[in-house]
Amino acid sequence: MKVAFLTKARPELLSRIPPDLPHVLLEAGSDGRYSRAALAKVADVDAFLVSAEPVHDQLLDAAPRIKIVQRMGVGYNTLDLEACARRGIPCCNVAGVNKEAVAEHGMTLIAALAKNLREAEALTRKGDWAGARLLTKRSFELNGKTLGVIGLGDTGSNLARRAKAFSMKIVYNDIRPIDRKIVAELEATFLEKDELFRTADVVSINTDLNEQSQGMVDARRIALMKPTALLVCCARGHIVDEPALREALDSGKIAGAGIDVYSEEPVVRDNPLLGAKNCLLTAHVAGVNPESGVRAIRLALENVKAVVERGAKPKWVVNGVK
Amino acid sequence: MKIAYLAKARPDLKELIPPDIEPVVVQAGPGGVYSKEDLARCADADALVISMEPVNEQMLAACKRLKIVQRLGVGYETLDLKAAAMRRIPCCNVPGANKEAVAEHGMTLIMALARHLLEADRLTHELKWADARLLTQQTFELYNKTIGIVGLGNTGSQLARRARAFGMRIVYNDIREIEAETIEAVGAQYLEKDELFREADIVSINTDLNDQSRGMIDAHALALMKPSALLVCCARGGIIDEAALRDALDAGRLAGAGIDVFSEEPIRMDNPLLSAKNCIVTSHVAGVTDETTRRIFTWAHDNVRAVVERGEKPRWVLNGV
Repeated sequence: MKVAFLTKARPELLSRIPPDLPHVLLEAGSDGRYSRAALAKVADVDAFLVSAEPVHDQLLDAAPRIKIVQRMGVGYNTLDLEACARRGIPCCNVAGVNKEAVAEHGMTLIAALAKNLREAEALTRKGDWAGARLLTKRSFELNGKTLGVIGLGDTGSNLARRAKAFSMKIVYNDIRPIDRKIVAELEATFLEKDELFRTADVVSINTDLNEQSQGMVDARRIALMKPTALLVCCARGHIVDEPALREALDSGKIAGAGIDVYSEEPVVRDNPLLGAKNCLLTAHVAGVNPESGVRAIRLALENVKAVVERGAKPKWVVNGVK
Repeated sequence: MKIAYLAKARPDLKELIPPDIEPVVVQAGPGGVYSKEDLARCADADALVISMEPVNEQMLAACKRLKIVQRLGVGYETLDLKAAAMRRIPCCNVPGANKEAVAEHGMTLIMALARHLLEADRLTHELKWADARLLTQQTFELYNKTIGIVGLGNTGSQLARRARAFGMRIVYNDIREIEAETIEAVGAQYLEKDELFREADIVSINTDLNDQSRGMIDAHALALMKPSALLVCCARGGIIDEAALRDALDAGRLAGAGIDVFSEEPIRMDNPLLSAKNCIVTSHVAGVTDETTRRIFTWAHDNVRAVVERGEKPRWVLNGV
């Protein structure tokens, strides 16, 4: 078996590739196309292991032996699912591999925003004790507040479980029906989206990027939120309208935001969220840490080996190919 | 009713004092000594309501009509309990008024440290995307880690409940007997202190300041902790040896610390923790949010009114009166 890792060169990722695994590495150009030299490398590979690079017709045409396209993560918006399906190639993710990590990151952003941690720490460090103490006028307890989770899937329900231990009430919206057991455990209440935006003290976006979530958090919905409310998104870029969020933060229409994902990544200099008021930014790292990284590669390789070496059915198929 | 508020002047104090109260606000000078003028202003007060100022022999002797000494918070190490008891004056706190807030703050520090949140935010703002991503090599999941809580009282058990929902294992130490119900609710396991320091991935201090906790986190205790461990303290200054903690952090013998309380407050610019590696500092605000402050003032004034206006017994008496 020979595999191709489609990834930007990352030292920590490379160190996790088993030394005895025949493999090539390639990455797309800034236009999402692969160079001729890159395409030549995949002529004899059996599987793609994908970080965040695109998989489309150009690449698939150059790799006639491909039996599986395997994401080393959860989202799959860089994969052309149909192009793969037409060729009978299953596309897979490692569902749930980083649900704990993403939930932790979301909760971290929520708590840090509620306590104004960045500013509190900066003032304390400067020796402005009185200023740091006064800042508490703007901080609040999560205890008794309402968390609105949009997308009560793996990460959303894990976030809700943590928030519940902070004595937060859980309301949610999801386009899929949610397992009753999970809803009961969380004592979560279903709300229509607009109602959720109106009601929640903290809104967390935990959906995939799809037609219904794209642009979902726009100026109109942000305007429904309480002026004291926080918005957190560790899902995907393009769900939150960044200029609208910037405007809402700077004018005090909402109290704060914690954002891990962007319309363009890496974040570009003119991203409106840079320097927005009370806005914590992280670099699409919610699900990324050494432990989840090791787990993701291990699970991804197991799935690939099952298909390529043993002819088994793949797990976690996302494009309907059996 | 006249109340003497022993507190550093805070801009929000006025709006927190009920309108029917005749207030005076005084604070101690150097060495905890009150000026003659201030003592005279307190002479006819019915109650002392205390932020962090001392209540000592000097103040008690000056207050001729005093019926209750009421703390605006949980800790009471600035009160001379015995001196008040000799005068038959009850000293009271408001236990549990901010237990959720303190637990939330502790958890916030733990999460921010595990994620290197402040540095991650700074690097992302500076457009250093690759560096911000590489920083994740130093981060870790709380899931499946062990938290060691020293002091499983009001705030400690609240912290444990939150940590439990993160999939953490709970170990604890306490000098008092803890109710079985509390222990079972969070699945906590008792460990001797040294053993707790050795085993925990995160150590949280949630004790009072007392003879046994003073100086408890010294070079010896720090040396027992894992180099990957985090230390969090939202309890009281004086429990941690700050110079020893700075040394441990700078030498990489400890991965990070989140500290809300200091040996001297307000923090001095030469406090060793201000220059320490991976140390998040906040200004004794764990139990302070707008809501918590209002709750504390309400509970404290209810207790004072019960004693002064209605002649009832006070709640939360600390000195047996």
